[in-house]
Amino acid sequence: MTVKALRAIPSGGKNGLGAFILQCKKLEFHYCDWAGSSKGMNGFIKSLLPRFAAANPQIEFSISPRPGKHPVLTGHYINGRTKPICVRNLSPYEILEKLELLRDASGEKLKRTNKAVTSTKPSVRGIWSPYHGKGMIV
Amino acid sequence: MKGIRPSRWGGQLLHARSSPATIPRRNFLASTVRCQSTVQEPAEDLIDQIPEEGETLPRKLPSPLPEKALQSAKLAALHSRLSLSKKIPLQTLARALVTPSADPNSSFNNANLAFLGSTIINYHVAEYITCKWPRLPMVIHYEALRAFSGPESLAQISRRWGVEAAAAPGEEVDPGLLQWTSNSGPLVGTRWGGYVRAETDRKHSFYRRGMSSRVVLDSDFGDAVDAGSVEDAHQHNHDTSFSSFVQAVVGAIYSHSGREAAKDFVESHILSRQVDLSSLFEFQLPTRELAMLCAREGFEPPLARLESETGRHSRTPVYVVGIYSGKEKLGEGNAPSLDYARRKACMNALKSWYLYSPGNKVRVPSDMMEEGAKPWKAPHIDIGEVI
Amino acid sequence: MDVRTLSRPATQLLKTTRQTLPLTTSRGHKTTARTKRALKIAPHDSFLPSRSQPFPAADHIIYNPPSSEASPEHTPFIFLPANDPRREAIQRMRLASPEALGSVAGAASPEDDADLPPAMSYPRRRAQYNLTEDDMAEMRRLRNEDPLTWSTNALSKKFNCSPIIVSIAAPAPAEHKKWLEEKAERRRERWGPIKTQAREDRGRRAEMLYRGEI
Repeated sequence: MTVKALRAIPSGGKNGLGAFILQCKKLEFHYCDWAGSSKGMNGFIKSLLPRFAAANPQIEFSISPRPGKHPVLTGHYINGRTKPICVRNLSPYEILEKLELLRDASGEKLKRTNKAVTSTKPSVRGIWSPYHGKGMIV
Repeated sequence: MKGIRPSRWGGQLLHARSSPATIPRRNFLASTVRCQSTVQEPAEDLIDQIPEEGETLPRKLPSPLPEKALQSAKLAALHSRLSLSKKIPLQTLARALVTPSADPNSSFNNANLAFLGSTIINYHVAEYITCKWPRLPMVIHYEALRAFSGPESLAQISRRWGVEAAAAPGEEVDPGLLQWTSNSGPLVGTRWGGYVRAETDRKHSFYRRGMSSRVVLDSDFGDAVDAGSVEDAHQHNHDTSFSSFVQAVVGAIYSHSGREAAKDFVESHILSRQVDLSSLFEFQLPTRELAMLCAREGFEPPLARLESETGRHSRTPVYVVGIYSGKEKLGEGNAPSLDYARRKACMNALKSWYLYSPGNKVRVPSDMMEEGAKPWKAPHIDIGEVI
Repeated sequence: MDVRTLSRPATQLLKTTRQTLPLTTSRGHKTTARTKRALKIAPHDSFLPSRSQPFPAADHIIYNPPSSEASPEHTPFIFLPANDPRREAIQRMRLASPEALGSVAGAASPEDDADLPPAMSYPRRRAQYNLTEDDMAEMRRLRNEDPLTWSTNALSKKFNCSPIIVSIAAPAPAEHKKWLEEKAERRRERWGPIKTQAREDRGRRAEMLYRGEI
């Protein structure tokens, strides 16, 4: 006759509801000293990267040469996915734009939202049921 | 100064050592000797294992040195991602990432911080649940506590913070990785609140472990402390290790930044999660329980009334039954048969009794500890469970 | 018929041939936008605020209960504790304007008995405290003497009480219970696979109901 309890499945954390955790945890930079496509990247690393890294202390930055290849930016996210972007022949400011794109992304695959509202809370007025209510004369 | 044996010098000086990495790792599996240990070392048999001064250790430490914490990018990123105050040093966070299974030395692992943090977390979550749902049965209270701050939930929280585990613990591991291992069997924390019951041994096994005794004797979540057989020990150890990091962070915040900062952290990371309590109930005889509740509270005996039906011979009938106490409606349920609809209505009525809540923003006792707190108004205190 | 027409059988109806008349579905217009515009209806007066005075623009709240099942988070009126402010508010509303409230669990004013839905008939406890000690002793004597003739139902009819009370006050001797259990067991063994499965499903369905899954 007593009430028993069922084990709850852990879920229900909403990023940003209480505290916000930036989803991008690591950014990798690959550059090349010889390739012409990496000129923008090299300039970026020398000029714009220090300030960007200081402004985003939550992200781990890893810079390493990759000789003979195009420059690549890779973002690593908390959900385990990565987003690589090849930044060949881009200027430093264009690379900064790509970097901001990586930083602001969550790791999820790009998905089209058809509905205006996505929510886990049940509807306020409940789902309409034909068995309740007195009906409305239209 | 320990006895020097010049005859042994030759072997060490002859090897060309350019970096610590080329030190031959003799006796890899032998017991490690910690030079930072405060325990007095037995002098005789370890004398030739103690390195000369100025030499790097030939033995592998179980966890990285605290000084390495200042050079880890992962650790600094984690510190900033959690928006921790500058009062909390990186070395403390590095220590919070080392679990007792990786390093048994309690001066270098997170056991004490985790214990401190777990008491703070469980206190805040328990007072929140008690004040927000004053009539919740004790079993559901325990499950709600587990849903907010149990090992599985905290492990999920720490993974969502971006905490990764090292493949195996050791001193060369990046200090920003969680260090744990599953080799030492299921981790049972007998120190962390609760007692090993007398009836776990065979001669007292007939003793019934009821709810009240669980409140007094068992752990914070109502589990028996002496786990006995834990199915899926690996998953259990994984969850325990990851959750110990979250607890250790709260402990570190309390130690360095104070009580209010720790409470704010618990509220924003743990209490902001959404937990649906109405799905945790499992009833046994809801009709009898509702009748006893009405008798206890002095309401009229509950009576089921058929609100609407699709018809007795419908192919897929729906009956909507409402439970009334006199003229007041207590609950409603719908089902394909009359009996099930009545039972569901009783369950919904009981849930609406147990899930009564004074509101969304409830005051908790720890609110009174801030300065300028308004006078405390007594919340509703429930008489207890129906049966 | 090719596969595409088979997968959408309704389109066969819409194909116009020289012999058949064009069939248009009566559901909508040629475009979605036209259909939406055609189905638009003005909101019911109960949804609109009263425009009788410009200021204050709204001096009352429109109460429009939804046509849906109430969730357990809505506490019925009598379940509210005495110190809850909602209790006084609902009581005030019931006294002031009972007709303004709808018929929702939380806010309904007590109606007459005739307005309530019809009561269901199901096995209910109707307690009559009419058994004396002598009755119970007699019950026990009869039960022990001949449990087969003096079954629970027979005794309940004789003493005008419920069979549950008989089973509490005058339990059968142990060997009679064992015999009954064995009889039931023999009957269960004669069931075929369909009946066994059906009974098992019944039990599992009840468990799922109590766990809230059904």
